[in-house]
Amino acid sequence: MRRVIAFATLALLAGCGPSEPQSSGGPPAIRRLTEAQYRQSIADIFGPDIKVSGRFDPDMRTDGLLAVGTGRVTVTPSGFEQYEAMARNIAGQALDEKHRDAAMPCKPASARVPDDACAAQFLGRVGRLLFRRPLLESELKAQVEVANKATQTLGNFYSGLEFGLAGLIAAPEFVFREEDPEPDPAHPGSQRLTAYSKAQRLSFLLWNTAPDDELLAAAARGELNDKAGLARQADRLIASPRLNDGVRAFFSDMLSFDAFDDLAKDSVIYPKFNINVANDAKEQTLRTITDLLITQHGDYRDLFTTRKTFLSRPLGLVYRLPVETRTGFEPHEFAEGDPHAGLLTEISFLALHSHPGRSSATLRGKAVRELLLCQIVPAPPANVNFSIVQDTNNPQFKTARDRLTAHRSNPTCAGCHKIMDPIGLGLEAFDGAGQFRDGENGAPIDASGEIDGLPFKDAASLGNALHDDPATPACLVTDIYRYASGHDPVPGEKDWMGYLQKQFAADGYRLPDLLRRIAVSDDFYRISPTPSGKPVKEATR
Amino acid sequence: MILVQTARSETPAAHYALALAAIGAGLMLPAWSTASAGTTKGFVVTAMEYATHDGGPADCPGGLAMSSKDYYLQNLPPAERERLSKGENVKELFKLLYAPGGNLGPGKRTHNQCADPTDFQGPPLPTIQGAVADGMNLDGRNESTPGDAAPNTCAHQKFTSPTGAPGIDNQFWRAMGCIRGYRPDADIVKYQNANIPGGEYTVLIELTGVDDIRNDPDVQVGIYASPDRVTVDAAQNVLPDSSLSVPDDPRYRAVAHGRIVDGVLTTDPTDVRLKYKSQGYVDTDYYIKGARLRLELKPDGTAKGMLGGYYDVETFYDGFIRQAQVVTSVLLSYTCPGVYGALNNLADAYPDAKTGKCTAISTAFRLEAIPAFIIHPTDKTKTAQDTTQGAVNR
Amino acid sequence: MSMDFGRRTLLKGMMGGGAVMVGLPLLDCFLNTNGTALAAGGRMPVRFGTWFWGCGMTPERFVPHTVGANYDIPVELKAIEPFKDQVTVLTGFQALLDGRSNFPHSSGNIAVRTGSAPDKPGEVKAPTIDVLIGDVMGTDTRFRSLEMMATGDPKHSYSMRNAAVTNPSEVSPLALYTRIFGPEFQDPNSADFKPDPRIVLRQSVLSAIKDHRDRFEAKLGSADKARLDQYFTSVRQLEQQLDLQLQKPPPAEACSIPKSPPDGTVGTDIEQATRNHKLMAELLAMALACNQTKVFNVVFSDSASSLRRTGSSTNHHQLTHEEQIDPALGYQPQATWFVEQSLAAWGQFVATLAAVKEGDGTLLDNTLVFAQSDTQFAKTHSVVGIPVMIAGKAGGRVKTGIHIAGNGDPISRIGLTVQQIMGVTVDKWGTQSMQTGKSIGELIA
Repeated sequence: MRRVIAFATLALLAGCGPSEPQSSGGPPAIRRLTEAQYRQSIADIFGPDIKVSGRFDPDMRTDGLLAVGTGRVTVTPSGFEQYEAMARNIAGQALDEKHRDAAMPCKPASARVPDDACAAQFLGRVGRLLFRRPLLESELKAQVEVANKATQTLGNFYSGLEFGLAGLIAAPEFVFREEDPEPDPAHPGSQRLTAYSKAQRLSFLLWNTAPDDELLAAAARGELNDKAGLARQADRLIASPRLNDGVRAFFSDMLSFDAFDDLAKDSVIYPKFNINVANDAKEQTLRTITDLLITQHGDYRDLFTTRKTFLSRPLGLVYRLPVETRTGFEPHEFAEGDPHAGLLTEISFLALHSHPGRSSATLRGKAVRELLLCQIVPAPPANVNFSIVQDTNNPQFKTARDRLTAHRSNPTCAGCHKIMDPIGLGLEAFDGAGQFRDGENGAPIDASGEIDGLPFKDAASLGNALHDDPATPACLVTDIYRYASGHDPVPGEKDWMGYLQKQFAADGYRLPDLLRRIAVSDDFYRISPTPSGKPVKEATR
Repeated sequence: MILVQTARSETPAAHYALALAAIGAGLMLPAWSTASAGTTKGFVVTAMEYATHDGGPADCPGGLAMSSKDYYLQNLPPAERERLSKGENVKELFKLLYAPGGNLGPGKRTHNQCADPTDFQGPPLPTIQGAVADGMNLDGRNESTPGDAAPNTCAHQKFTSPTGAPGIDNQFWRAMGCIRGYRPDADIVKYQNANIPGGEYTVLIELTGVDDIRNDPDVQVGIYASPDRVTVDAAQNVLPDSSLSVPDDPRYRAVAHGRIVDGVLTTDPTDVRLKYKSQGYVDTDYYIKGARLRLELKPDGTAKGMLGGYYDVETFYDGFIRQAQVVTSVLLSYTCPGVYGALNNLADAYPDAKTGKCTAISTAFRLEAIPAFIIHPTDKTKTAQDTTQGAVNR
Repeated sequence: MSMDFGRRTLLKGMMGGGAVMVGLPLLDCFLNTNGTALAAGGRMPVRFGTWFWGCGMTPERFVPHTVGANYDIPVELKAIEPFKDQVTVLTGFQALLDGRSNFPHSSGNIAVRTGSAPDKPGEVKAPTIDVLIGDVMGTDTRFRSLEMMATGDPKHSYSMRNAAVTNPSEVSPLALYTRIFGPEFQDPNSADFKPDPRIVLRQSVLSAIKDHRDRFEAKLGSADKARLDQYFTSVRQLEQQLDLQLQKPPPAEACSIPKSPPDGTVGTDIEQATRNHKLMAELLAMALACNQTKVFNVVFSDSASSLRRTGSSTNHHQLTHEEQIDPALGYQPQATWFVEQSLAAWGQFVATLAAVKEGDGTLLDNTLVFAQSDTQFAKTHSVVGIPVMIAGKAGGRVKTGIHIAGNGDPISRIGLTVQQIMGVTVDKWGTQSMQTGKSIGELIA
């Protein structure tokens, strides 16, 4: 009896649940900073009032995420032209009379001639933050030389120092995130990321920006190689309000919010939809998400059923609801029974996945499959005749369901459409701008259907169906990992992914817990130098 | 507990019948029987212009009003008049107009005919001679003759409306209607309407306590000058369903009792003050005393009607004429002393206690409105960013 | 791509240490008195560019009925009628997909510009023809190439080395103006020239950056190495541009500095697009005349044309699929209107180049513009008979004023021929069924 109790106690002491399975880890990546990361890094290092204006080479969506594309893109000639110009501009602002005292750790002996020691102090300090690791001797020496020469030419210490600084901001070490492997003493024969590379992964995942001074210092002290030290930093980052930034960046990517840049709505059919509505719709969804997942520490699946959201006045116009707050957002809860329930009924989802002048069951169904369930839908054949589907004035086919039914009867099309249309038709009570409507062309809307065997009768119960679909949380876990690591999970990470899925469920589908689990894991920092086979696409995506 | 809805057509008998039924069912007496809560209908005004009327040649048989420039030129010897009328000499002309002793006088708001109209000579303003004009019957009489004017008014000529209704009081139109810029479809009405979608001023109308939108003897009507600008679509049309706040300053909140008969709302008189701004030219108030509203509430949710009342003459002159300065008198074609004289001569209400001279002049505005949410401030903070509380008077 | 530093230095030495511009725009003194050719027998600089419009044309209204010189002008070609003798029309060539999917508004375009059809959406297996030509021609001007597009989205550029390296387009005329004629512009015709000392300092910054290359070389796998290579190539590109700015540019007789355009809006409205296209075409013409670049890429409307009418909404692309064919007219009136507008813009572009006098001809005479769309008839996404037009005589190297019927031949024949005309040493281009060694003789002068 005592032995049983002892074992039980031991089991309890060892922590509940299974422990992290062995994993190969994935390949190291070299990832270009996204525009948002570039801007945030500059703001963190030089202050938020530094203006960054320039045209960035576009980010590239690969396998559904911009974060994965960061490992594929590079810098074009006109892109570098912009980086170099921005670097000089930022350096000029950072060392102008208003900012230089706060930025400089020292004063030059004379403001008119070189002072290598002071230049080195400044460039070393700021270089560590820019390169996200201490500068090598050679790197620092080279920049000090540039500054020295420039000071001599221009006769001004600070003007010369600007060139030294610009060289750091335009350098590939700032523009690209390097991930360096090193041998792992705890697992001989295996590799792990260096401490600075760990700091980068941690910081970009949780805050979407470069590691701050404290995190870099922890890396320098070797604390990130120690489980407790790593946990301490992870917890610090997770407890910070900046976690919101990281989560927002992730969901903006996962939900393809960059497509809002190309979004245009018919100004005659949807006169209320303008740029303010589009911007506020994105913000509404991001607030709904961070409020539920971070502030309320809620269940991810509830995102598809929640009636709690946030409204601004431009959105109030579209929702036809009064909003007291003049500029900004206020919380709003839809009443029980209101058709607005969950992410799928928010304007950001409905309007983004529609045509300029009408809704689209196919686009919305496709978006649910690809963005929320991580399922691939094949591309359409090139010679489709769309004219029946698009004719919204046909008296025979009044609703989208009618038009698409006629279309689904064609066997060539039915194969793919049957996995998209029934889902999107569940959202037809909302028009192309996300506004609720009672009917279409005078005919009532039938918003019933089924998704992977789960029936629903309207948008709210479609949300319930997504809530109950195991593919929904599974997709989030996969996407978070791909976003964090920049690659699809490799075959050697299969067990690890399975473990993450199970633990996510055990943790009540709470995102901060998932993030923490990844942040303090072994796998996240394990590097397999030659990826074992091609990335696993079918099983997890 | 069952919530009993307020009956549509209320009679005391109906109230009692329902109350008895409620008691009989063993339920508590609902609160509605003591005061009707009713619903709220909010509107934002999309167009608001003077009720002008084109009476044809009968309006201004002697021609339209002269501008200061015209008047100055008219008094010059012919050769000089012709020279200064030429385009290339316009700078010189204006220099002369602004010179001391010149018609316009030096500088802004210093001694000139618009700043100090009683100090300057000028031609009298031609006024409307026609018998037909638009507006409201404000004093309730078909006629207003010396010795037999309604209380608080001065005897004056009335108009017949374009639809034949007698007793229309619009002395403001009589005074200003022969000024080119104030005619129908001219500058002033165009600015008045354009300035709303332009975001220069916003007028809200709120009906509360509405039990029956077709017929209700007892509703409360608020007329507010909102500090918020309206939202427009790509074609500059004002959009419905926006949220607009009532002003903090109580002077810009007017409330009156009204009633709805066959879908038409009318209100009892109350003083109304609304902000009016126009593209840098004026920033003033419409100060309308004894204002009343007549609004047709259409089935599609929009409204159309008229606001009539009495302009306080000094407030009007100060805000719209003095502030707009001499340059506007040239652009719209009037002379300031003429306007000042006409407004005072034709004023028809609110006699000064000492002199007996009327100080306010009847006027009317046509207006159109669409649905909006009227937001009343709650006690909790609700200014910029991220208020966590939000309450709305629905 | 290697830089010819050796030859340049050698020739510098030859001329006694003075700054000799070899491979740079021609010095006035090398031209004969007419400014037409090198005194020793050369030519004015030849320029190359592409011009793109989305969603094709209506074959019955576009394809001339006669073949060869003096072709007739059907209604959709009206815009180029004034320049008929300077434009060659190529119809009936096809993009061969070898069983791959015809990705709407993509496969055809990629096939024309790279000679290879994509296997997956977004795939670009070979550099586009302007990149290949720019590699040869674009190395000695301030800008290797200039990209611009008229409907407001910098991502819409069809100048690509591969899918991950797309040269983004300028979309704002004002931004384009500032980039070319802003503070860093050196007027080739100005008498005094003072190289800016900051240029040398900027070069020292870039030189220090280049020193980082070895560290990356040593540790990266091949795919990542290629990406970083591109980064360092871009650094070198800027170094070259700065190099040129240190030397007095040769005079350019046709160059006159334009006025800054107004800061207007950009977008998909047809009026906005037409206006911005006109402004950017004019800036481009002057950039060419002032020898700021010799290679350009203009996109009037993106391949799934998002052009819209003012205040209206359904865009060109939607109309091509949704609008019924009018039984009386025989075509889609609304969709076709956009085709006409797009081709009108093409006519405007040609006119803009033709209006600049250069030597004893025009800028157009010294340019080859390769104009194409992504599809033939957009409603069906047909990639058979994708329309192509060549405008300009390329300094006498290309035959214009003819209609060439492709008879189903692979469209890569056009790309091959154009590259050869522009001096790329290539005898075979394209892959699979589009691999061809057969250039179009009728095009070559």
